[in-house]
Amino acid sequence: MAATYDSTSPYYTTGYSQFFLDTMTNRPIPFLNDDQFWPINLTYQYRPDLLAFDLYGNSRLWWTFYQRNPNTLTRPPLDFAVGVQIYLPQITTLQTVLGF
Amino acid sequence: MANLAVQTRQTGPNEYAYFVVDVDQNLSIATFANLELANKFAAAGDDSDAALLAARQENINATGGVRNNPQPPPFVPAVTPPGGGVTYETIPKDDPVAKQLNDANAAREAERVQNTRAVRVADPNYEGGFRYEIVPKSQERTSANAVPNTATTFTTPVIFDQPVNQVQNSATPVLGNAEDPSIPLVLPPVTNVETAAQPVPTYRAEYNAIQDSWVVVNANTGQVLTSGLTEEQANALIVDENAPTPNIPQPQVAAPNPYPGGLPYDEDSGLLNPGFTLNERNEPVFVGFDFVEPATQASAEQSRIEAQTREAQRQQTYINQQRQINNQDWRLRLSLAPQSNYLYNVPDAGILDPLKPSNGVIFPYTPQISTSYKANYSPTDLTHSNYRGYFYQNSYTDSVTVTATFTAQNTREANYLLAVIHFFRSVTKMFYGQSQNLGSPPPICYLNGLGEYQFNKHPVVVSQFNYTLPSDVDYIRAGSSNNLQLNQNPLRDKQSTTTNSGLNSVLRLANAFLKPGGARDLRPPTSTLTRVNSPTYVPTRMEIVITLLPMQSRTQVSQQFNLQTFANGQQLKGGFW
Repeated sequence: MAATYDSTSPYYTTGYSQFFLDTMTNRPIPFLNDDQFWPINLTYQYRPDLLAFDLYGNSRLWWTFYQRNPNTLTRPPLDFAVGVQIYLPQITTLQTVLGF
Repeated sequence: MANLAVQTRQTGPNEYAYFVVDVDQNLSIATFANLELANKFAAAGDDSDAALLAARQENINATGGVRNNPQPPPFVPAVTPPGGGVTYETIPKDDPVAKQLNDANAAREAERVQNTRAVRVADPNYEGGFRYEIVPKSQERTSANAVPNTATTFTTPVIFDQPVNQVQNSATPVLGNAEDPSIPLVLPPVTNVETAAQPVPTYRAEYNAIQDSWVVVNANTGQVLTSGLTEEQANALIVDENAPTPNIPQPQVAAPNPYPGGLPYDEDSGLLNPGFTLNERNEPVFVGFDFVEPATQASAEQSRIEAQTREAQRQQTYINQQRQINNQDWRLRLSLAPQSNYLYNVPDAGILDPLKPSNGVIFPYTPQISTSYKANYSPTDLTHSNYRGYFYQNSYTDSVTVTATFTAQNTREANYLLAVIHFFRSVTKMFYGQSQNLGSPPPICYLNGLGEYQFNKHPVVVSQFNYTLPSDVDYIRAGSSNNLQLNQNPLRDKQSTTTNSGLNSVLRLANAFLKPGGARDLRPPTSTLTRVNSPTYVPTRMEIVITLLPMQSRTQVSQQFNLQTFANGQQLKGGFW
């Protein structure tokens, strides 16, 4: 029996065959105009999970920052550093896209 | 040779048993079902074992115990056993001795019923949830008055679980002993009590053989006041009780229970009905509506004390209010006109905001105030005179110089000091250029402080403002009301806390200028944040000197001023210098 993933997980839509996860199915976050452009400060440096918790109340949504900023954030979490400016998706967008 | 006799007892509707008793020793020797055998055995007078065995064998061989003749045989009163082993209810009415005993028993029962009362008491430990208490109708209080703030103490009522007809009776009211309620205390009827219109309480000591102790009874009523005493204690108590003092405890007679069935509790609420109270065993008894428990009296006394306390507190509050009026803020204050709409009396006063709560500048330390009242006289040098002549010209109040000290030990005080400095800067300037009240001179201020006869709404203008920023004191950062929080940002960032509490989460987001949910904050940065980025520093201690000019309007001077009124102090309240 394969593991089940929550809708907040990046592997929620990824299938599995027998005991192994299949090739990951990407869960893109749309780029919206009302996404806030924000420079990472010292508080959240290397802590996308902390930012996800503070913003959305769920630290498992940390990967949404990487999905929203694929050109800026590529190597989690060390590229989540002070001064890097990223777009922050709104929680309503995540709820719509991810379905939680 | 024994003195034997036959005693007959009815054991059934038509059945009898015949007891052969030893009259001298008052013992039952044998029981026969046949009267002839019993008479034969009694007539022989032989109570030896051999004779008894023979009679018993003969009795067994004899037929029956059932008489054909329903009439009972003659009875020998002398051999009636005294009390023990006799069940009164089984004695036939036609037995003269049994009838006598039964009548006596009925008389005692009637008297007991007259003097006592069965009270139904809710008790979950009993089957059905109720039990019955036999409570003397004339309840007596013992020493409850001597024990303040305690429950009412009564003589212990006798409690029976058995049917009423099995209750042991007595000729006098039965009042249980407090130490052992299961042993009723039977008192002989009171004799030699003189009947008077107003019976005088007379008490006497009596010896209780059952308890082997002395009791004190009321000679008039025969009721037991107390028990379990030694003879000396009882006699001493009698002397005290018979003393002609008004403190003799009068037994309280319980009022008749007005409730049907004598229920002490309200079945709905479970509370005691009015007129009921609890005795020393926490059992409800009815004592009448006029009875006031000592606990209630103590409660009333407590209520009186509390009322007195409240009255004292009210008076103290009034005194404190008067004292507060006398001790109200008498610090020196320089404020704008109440209805003004400039400087700090605008919605967005900027750095003058700290002056809004204090309505102007309050001098936190008592300043040095120099005031001079002048009267000008023109001297005239008279020719050929030994004295100079002075001719009155005018009077005026000279400038008022205020030298004040300000300190700032935290950001809030620094903000206030910065506002003070800037207020005095601003109040010396006219409304010029793009100002709202274009062309108006510098605003008039009002000086208050040191009581109503010192500076009471005295109008002034600030003619001079001097301050020196000293070099030998520390300076403190001013400029933001949340400066303290923001000053801790670097420290909080270095800590990189991972605490998931909601408060910390909100603080982290606020420091990052983010809103929960990632909502975009479209508002421009506030002036506060701007000021944070460019803080202002003020000295922790500085002195300022302001020069004030009394500014009395011409209307006041010509139409309101009255020297006599000014002299008696009334116009000092109106702001006359």
